[in-house]
Amino acid sequence: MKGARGWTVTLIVLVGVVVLWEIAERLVAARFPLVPAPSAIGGAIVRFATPIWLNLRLTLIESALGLVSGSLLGLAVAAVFVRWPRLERSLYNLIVTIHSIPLVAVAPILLIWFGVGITAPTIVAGLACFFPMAVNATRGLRAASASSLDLMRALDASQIQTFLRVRGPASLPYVMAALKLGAPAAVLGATVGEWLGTAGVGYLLFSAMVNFQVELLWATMVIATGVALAGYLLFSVAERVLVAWGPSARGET
Amino acid sequence: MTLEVHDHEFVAPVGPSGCGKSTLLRLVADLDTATTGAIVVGGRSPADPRHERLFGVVFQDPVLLPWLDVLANVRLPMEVAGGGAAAPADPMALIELVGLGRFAHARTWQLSGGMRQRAAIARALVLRPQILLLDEPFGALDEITRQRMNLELLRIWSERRTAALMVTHSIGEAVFLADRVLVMSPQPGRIVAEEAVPLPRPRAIETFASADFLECVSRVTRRLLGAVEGTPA
Amino acid sequence: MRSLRGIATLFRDATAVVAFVAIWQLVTVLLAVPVFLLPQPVVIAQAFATNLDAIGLALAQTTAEAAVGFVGGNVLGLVLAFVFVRSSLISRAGLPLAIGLRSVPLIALTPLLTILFGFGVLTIVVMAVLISFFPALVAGMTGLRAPSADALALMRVLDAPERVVYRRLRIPAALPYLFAAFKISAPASVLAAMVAEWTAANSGLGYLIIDAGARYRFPLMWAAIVAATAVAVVAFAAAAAAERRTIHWPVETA
Repeated sequence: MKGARGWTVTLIVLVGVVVLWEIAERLVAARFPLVPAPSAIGGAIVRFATPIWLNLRLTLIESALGLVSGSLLGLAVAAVFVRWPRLERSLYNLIVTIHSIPLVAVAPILLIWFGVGITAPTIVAGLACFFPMAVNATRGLRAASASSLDLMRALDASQIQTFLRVRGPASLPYVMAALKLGAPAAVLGATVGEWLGTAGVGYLLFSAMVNFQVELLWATMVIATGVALAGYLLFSVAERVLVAWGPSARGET
Repeated sequence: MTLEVHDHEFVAPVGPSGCGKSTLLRLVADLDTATTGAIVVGGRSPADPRHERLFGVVFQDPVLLPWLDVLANVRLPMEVAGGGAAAPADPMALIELVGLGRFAHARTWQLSGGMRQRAAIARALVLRPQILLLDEPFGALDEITRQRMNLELLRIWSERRTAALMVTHSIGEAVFLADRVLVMSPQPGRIVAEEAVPLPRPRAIETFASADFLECVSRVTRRLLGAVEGTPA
Repeated sequence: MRSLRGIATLFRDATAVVAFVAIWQLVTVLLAVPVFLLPQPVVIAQAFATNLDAIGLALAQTTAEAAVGFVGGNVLGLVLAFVFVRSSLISRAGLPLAIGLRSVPLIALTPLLTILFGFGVLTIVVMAVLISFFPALVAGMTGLRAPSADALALMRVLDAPERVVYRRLRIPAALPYLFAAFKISAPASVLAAMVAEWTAANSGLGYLIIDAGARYRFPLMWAAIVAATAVAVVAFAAAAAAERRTIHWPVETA
């Protein structure tokens, strides 16, 4: 309830900014050719709807594939870490290092390896969400309280039952948090991966910059931001639905 | 409602959860402001004695700052007061008094719950307050530590001789410590009875077994049960 | 005792790196991997040695840009966090906005910034400022509001002036949050500077990577990538080391 009110205020602030921006543009008409009025950006979105949609579709596919594969890989690594804690101690720094390899440095290599196409951006997207998932899921799989694990032991539950009833649900809040981070990160990764390519939102942004199509650039930017935010919101809603016990479960420690 | 605490007197309001005994203490300390009515402390508004730093407060959570050691935590009020502190006590002597002499430079998070609360009591005393306000200070401790801390509190208080107002929901604790026990009722929160505790001081472990103590506890208990009659537990 | 364990960890990490490089070398030689796919470490090292000046210059430039952006973004973010925290109205509207803006794909903004701020250092620094700004703002706001109600009540009983409440309570309480943000934004500002160099510069590590790739000088490209990764790792490690030195008390991280 309180969160909803916060968002309402935020929404009002956002609308206010857009309106002020529009008024400012009208007043000093075309003094800032690099910052078009919101109405002009809206017009550009309509005008360029077809190229934006065609490129966006590709980016969405890459982001989704990247999110799924990166998250699954992160989950797998977390499962291995939890099962064999010694491995985590030896490999954790390696994973942090891999995470620190700048995406920008990875993109050209992937382009060379896989050529222009869907693969390189997908991998960049996957890398972007792998790390948060690996870290969060490792924590999540360890989040089950000792007493609930004792309870399962007392019931002589099997490993699978313990996972389904206790470890899995206990890790869900952490996994959802990683997905909330991962969804925008995947869109970002795919976009950066496309910069050097020939299609996708990243390509569209880059070519609009090179060709100085200011309105197209802003329009694409707004759409890309909207998509990244939508990804975040999608998983926020999913989290609220799936982790209904969240706050109370945390309260009872 | 009127609440009188004389110099060197130990007063303990008791009551069930939600009867407003913590609120009472917070109003006195000027931590909350009353929605209706006025609070008068010593003929003045509670803000005045607070500005003069006449209160020493101990909460259930000792709120020691983890980035400071024990001594620095005890000295904190002196630093906050700056030159404004009239005649602060020697913090090291206070630490000795509460039995933490060997732990003056220990990290607060390495101390046990009882030791943390000892440090919090030393901190509350460092500006030589006129009145010590204690809000369930031992509520989070286990029963045995709690008994030990009650004995310690009596010892410390009898050495420093400030007035004390301690909120608790333990009848035995209130009777053991206080000169007067105030019985509070929930909804509306008010003081329904006042019981003087005729036990002689100094009190010690033997006090718990004395007939006077038991008799006083049962009297307060009856008053308390009478006050909550008709409300579901 | 602790330094001994530190040395042991360092030794283990060093062994892991050496083993990693050795396997890489072995695989590339045995399988005769073409240089455009994956150069041998030895070849990369050679490229590093022959292009030491170029790489060093690019490294210095990128590091300087990232550092300026990191400092600028943090100063801006923390000052704003102070302002926000002192006004509950602004902070109620501001925190969700800051968290929302934090998930904006900032890196993807680069083409837009390049148009707005032109080709040159300004765009690169603005990018690095932006990437450090939001973590600092969010950490500052959460951290300064982290003290418990009881701790604030204690300060009130002591009649502590606002200045003392900040110095003694709010700022120390905010430090763990700040360092957590530093660990994110220090390497991220290096990344941001490099991305901006793609579009807004013809110098620096980011540009060097792209340029070497475009000229098919793959060993040089890899040498630059290794250098870039090293800067990012060092930036993270420096933030982590500063955290360990400063935060000597246990912290319950949310």
